[in-house]
Amino acid sequence: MSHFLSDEQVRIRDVAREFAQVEVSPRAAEIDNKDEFPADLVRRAAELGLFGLMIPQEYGGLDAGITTTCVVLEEIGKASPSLAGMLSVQIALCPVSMNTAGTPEQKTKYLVPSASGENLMALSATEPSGMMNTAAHQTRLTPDGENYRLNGLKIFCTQGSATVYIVGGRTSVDGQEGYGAAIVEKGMPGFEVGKYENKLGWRGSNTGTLIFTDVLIPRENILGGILTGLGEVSGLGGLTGNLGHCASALGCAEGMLAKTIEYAKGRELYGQPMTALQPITYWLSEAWVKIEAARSLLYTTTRMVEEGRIDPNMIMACKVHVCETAFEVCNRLLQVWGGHGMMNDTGVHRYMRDARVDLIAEGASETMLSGIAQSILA
Amino acid sequence: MTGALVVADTIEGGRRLITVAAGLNLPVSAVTHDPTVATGLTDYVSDVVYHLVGSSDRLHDYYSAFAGLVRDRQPDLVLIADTVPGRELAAMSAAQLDVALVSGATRLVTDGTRITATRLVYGGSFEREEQLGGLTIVTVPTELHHPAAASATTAERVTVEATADQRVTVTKRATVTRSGPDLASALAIVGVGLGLRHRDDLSLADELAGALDGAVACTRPVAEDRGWLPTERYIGISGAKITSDLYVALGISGQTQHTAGLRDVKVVVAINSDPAAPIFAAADYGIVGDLYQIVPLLIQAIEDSRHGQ
Amino acid sequence: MNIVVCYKSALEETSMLVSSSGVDATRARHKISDYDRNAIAAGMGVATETDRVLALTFGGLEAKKTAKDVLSRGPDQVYAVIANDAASADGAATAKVLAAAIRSIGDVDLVVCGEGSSDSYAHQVGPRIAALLSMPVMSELSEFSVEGTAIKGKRTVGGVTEFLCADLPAVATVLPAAAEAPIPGLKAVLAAGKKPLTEMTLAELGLDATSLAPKTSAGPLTAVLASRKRILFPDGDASSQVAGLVGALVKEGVLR
Repeated sequence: MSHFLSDEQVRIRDVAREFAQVEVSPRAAEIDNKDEFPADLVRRAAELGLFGLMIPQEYGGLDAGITTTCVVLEEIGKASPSLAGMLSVQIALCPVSMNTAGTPEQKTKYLVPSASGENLMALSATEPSGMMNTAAHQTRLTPDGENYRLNGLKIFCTQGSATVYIVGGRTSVDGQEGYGAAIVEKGMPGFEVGKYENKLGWRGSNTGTLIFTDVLIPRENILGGILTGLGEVSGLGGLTGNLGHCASALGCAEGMLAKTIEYAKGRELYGQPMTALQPITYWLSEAWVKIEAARSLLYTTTRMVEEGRIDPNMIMACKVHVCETAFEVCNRLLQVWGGHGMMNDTGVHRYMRDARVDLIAEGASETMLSGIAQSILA
Repeated sequence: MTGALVVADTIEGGRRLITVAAGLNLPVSAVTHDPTVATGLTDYVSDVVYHLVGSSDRLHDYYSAFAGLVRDRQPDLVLIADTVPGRELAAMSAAQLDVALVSGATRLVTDGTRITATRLVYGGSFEREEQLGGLTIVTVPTELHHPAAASATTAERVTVEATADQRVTVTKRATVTRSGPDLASALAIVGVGLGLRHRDDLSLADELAGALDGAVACTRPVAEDRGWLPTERYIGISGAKITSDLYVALGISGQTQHTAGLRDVKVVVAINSDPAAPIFAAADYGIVGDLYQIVPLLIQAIEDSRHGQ
Repeated sequence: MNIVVCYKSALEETSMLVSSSGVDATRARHKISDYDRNAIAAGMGVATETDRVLALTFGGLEAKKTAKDVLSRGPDQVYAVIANDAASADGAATAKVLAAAIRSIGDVDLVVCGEGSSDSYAHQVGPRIAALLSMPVMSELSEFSVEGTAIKGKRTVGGVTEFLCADLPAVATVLPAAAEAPIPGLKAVLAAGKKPLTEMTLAELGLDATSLAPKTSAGPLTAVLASRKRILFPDGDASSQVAGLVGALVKEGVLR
């Protein structure tokens, strides 16, 4: 949580906290173990109104802002970083992309059912040639009369069990190359979702390959400008989506620390409680310090975004620092658990594995560092 | 009157409360609505046994008459069993008398002038002492005390005509079938928690209890939410408090609300797959492991040990 | 029908710090007492469209903070009797205050309370209120419903399940089993901000602080620490763990 929350934000945080502790926590290890999409918990999150956090009220949302959104995802991340990661796409990324680039008709058609939970959304840009390597991307939107045809392949789409996909496709108008975006709905002829990947972390989140074979995209499903669509959907949405992931990573680290403290308190080594051994206590307090530093960076950034001071460098800094911190903390703390930490039944190494995914997903740390370098060296 | 007034639903319950009063060096009188109990208690009480006679067979319906009796006789202390009807009777008469009510007292001591009660608060995480000032009603978990021996003299038996408040009627009663030895007399008890996956797995607990010649109990959610065992079988701050020699907790996380019922157990054993479960801090011996693997081995090992192998 | 649900703001036991010098509750947070959340849900459960559910509490200033949480669970309004010494009030005082408030609200058909508060857990306020208001009481119910002008309840007493019936107005105290307390959705949380909170003072109710002073004097809280051996058999081979356990139990003399 941010250290500066209004009473209302505290109550929203408490809803997320109770959901995480009472309903998510008992299932978290199983979701990771069985790698099964927790449709029931995703539905519960929708029932509690969480899907509408970043959606304007006129489209059935709560318009609660990115700070509140991050507070919610952080709470869920403490119990299941994997679920929080999936929900981040649904809550902090796609609705903002749609709200930024969409027409009022598109927003009514897609944001309203998203707020209520009828639609699950995903955004897909990554191709086998690499997410940022856009010049090499093959997926293309070609004109077909008034409409378009989408052909190509996207990989590693988080939330491959979505019903509505925002998909990037290369475009060209009068010889000028661009990158547009299309709204693809599950069931559209020619659109298939390939097998789900078996992953190191974020298990339970269906990461799939999207295959487009001559999919007819009606004109009204083009999102944003035909040459600029992807840029528009990845703009603000990309930033808020990243912050959502940082929040779930922060929660991940906090969840691991809380569990490790409980474990250390209850365990004896060489005739003393583990907490009497100084090196152990230092690992725990160092983790605490690192988490607080990451928290401050994240919530300073969310506050800046809410005040309209959007500095991509700050968001990129969050993605690098908060996520790297989360992995470092989870990895270090796993050592406290000794042999137990290695056992699948203990159910605790999932925190480290989930945190590891954040170093790559939605922009690798190196991508962020590259972006910051370009900016500060300009 | 100076002394304690004990409320008895059964002879044995009454005898256990008499022990508490005797521990405070207070002469004792008793009150009951059951004629057999009234007659029976005259052998254990030093002063008077009051028999309330009226139209109801439920003792707590007589709260008003009981309050009147207390007002009349002015005891220093009133002791009532910490049960559902006991608590109702205690609270309603306390309100009519405008006196304090200390419920669930785990300890009552005196320094000659003042009585101090100890009770658990915050779900069993903390306890606190309360010094009683003047006439106080106290409810006591009777299972923590032994029934008093017969007194040297036989008490006087006094009949009191009493009006019952019968605005609450019992339309039906259904006895829940008791399975196995009761918790109060069992020397060994096996407790099951939410870690037990299926209802049929209770047979595993039954087998272990059988090997130990003991009874099966559980945590509150297993009885109240799952309905796998009758509610009188759950151990905890709001349930049974056990005094067995041995308690084996299977798949129980160890919340304070449950462990509050284990304080007088001689040896507590915990088996749980979660090494961070709080039960291990409340146990003498613990095995971190899968109960489905451990319990069958344990049953075998106990039987082998019996046969001197 | 007017339904009053009584609730208490209790300290979160997890936020109380235990050290060698005792228990420090100065930075502890308040929450709605656990079983009262179920009581609120139970009250909401028997309310029809035309009924009003009014939440009532007696507390210090913290009572205002938890009011919004209560309102997000369904009640139409919160009445809070605020007094500085509320934290030290015992069951007798609390019941007097709540009974006076219920009289002041007027026209109350049903009073619902939890079985006990999460802090003191004395099981007494509900039945005390009934005695003070001359209402019948059904306590520690695992199920209850309102049928016309009667209330029906179910509870287990010493291994016997009782089915009870009484005419309204009446008091019911309920176990958590009587109603699950659902997590309020965000819409309800935001709507709570617009529902009224009415404050009352002891003076308005014709009560003064001295008449509410506790009759017992309570000592400080002490942590309950189980003084057990905490011996864990080394992990690994289940057979040797079990052998170790049986050996220890034989030594303890609890295995015959």
